[in-house]
Amino acid sequence: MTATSLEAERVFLRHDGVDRDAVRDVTLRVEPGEILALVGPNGSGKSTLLAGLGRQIQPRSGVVRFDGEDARRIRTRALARRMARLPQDPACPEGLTVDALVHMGRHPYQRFGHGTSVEDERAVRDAIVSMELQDMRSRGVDTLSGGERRRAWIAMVLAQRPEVLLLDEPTAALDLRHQWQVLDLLVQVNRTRGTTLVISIHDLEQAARIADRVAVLYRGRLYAVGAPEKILGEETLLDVFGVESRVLVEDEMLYVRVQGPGDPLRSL
Amino acid sequence: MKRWVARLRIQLQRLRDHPRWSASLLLALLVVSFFVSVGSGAVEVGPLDIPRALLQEEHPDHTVVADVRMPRVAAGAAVGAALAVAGVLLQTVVRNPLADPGILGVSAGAGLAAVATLIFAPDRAAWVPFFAFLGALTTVGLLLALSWSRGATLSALRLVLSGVAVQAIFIAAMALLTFAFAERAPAFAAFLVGSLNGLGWQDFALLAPPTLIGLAAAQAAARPLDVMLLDDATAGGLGMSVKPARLAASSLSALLAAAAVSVAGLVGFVGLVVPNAVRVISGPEHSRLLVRAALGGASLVLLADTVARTLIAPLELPVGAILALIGGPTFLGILWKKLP
Repeated sequence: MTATSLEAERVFLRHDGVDRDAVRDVTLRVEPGEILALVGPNGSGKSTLLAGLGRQIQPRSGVVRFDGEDARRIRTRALARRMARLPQDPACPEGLTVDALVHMGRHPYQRFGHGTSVEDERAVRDAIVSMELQDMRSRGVDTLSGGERRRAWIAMVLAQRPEVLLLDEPTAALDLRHQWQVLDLLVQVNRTRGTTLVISIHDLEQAARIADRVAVLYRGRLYAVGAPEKILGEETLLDVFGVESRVLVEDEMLYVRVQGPGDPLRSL
Repeated sequence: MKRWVARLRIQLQRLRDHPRWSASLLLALLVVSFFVSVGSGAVEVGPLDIPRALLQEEHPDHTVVADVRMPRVAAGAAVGAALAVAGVLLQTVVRNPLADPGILGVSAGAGLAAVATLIFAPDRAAWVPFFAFLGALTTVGLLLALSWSRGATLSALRLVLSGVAVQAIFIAAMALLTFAFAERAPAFAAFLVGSLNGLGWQDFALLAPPTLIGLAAAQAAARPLDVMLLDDATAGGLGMSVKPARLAASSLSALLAAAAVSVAGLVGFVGLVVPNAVRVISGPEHSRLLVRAALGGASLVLLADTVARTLIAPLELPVGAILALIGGPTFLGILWKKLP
């Protein structure tokens, strides 16, 4: 599968009915095949930026380019075959089975009134295997545990066979073991298929561990972007999160020890 | 009682893993309903006698069965199937199990248009379903506009309350028209409650084409309809243009509801009771739900009509009254469960 880039150029984003931009003047290029982690405090614009990159919200000004082309020019269905996005906590209808949910991932490929193709079935099976859901295919999504449910949703977007995958806090509200399970599976997807991943995430150590680069958002603006060990320094944490901390890098692992809350120093 | 109901529900839910069983069960129910409905009345006809009475013109019950009961049963089944599927579609469009063409005033919109056509263009009776469709479509559009608060998701409370208000206005308009033009208006009371009394083959001929088109189109759209069950952001990410899809599905619902209303009046609650009951044994996927809802809706209307005809015979009650007696409590039950 070809790796695909995604770019935002001087993008301003705002939600319907709000007269303030949630994302301001962000220019960011997601390189083909990389894992980019979006980090930042609550309300810093991570989810909004993901929605903008995924064309869920149109930029008020600026351009989002998918594979070099203005995303507005690409038809919704055509885009959905190449880029998938997963909101943080999507609502699932009562009684829908895992199998049915993952099949929905094939929607952008299916013509009206036609049956499920061999290709569809293969993509669904691959997605279910890669999220380790084989034993739960006929279970209702609403009967699964939090971690299983998250995997079911990720399987749905994987069945889309996207080149670019945008995930909004895929580890939120999961226990430690399931957080790592989900992240490991996502890294595997990136390694085996070359899928470009953009993931918003709160845990900085996890972000550093899985991401090639980290983008730090602060009050709707891009504060910094680059390799995790370069970006996630003590100064950044003080500026952006308002915490005094010690950051250690050991054997290419990054450790953050937070010492206590302070006041955000700079207003950007 | 509550525990017993919960236990029954769990048992019924096991049918979800056996889709053939649930379909066969509902098909059997429809066949039974058919024989009961055709056989009951002032002249009782046994199940074995029905085929003979239907095919042999010299049979003593031929006229009753072939010219009176059969068209009524055929129309009743079509009305039931159309309303049940219209209910499924509306519930999917607004993602709320309380939606029903009757409750939301869609039927009333169709009814007003139908009554107006009968009064102002009495020689255009064949056009009634078409104008009823326009009335229903306008109502659906109005409801969606009223209950989608800007940018946000659809509010169930807003929807139901808008429906109540819209329905009150349409019924008032219908009442004014029928009183002002009493000599040309249809039997208002029966129309308002919904009734199959006196339906003939010409009514069935009016009803069948839009019903068949509606049912077939809904079944063909089963997979996109599944996607519409997800929230807008997720459905959009799957490549669905949510607003046009929603408009298409509600038009289909309006078509089916209007077809039913044009011949039977404002038969209520079928679209509420049947989809919610059938979902227990079929699950939410439309490929299974739609067919089973159509079978269940047809059976329910036939059985309710049989009760309506025989309860205090020779007087014929309107079928809508019987259905409302079943549907009202169901509505309350869902409301009780869903709202805090």
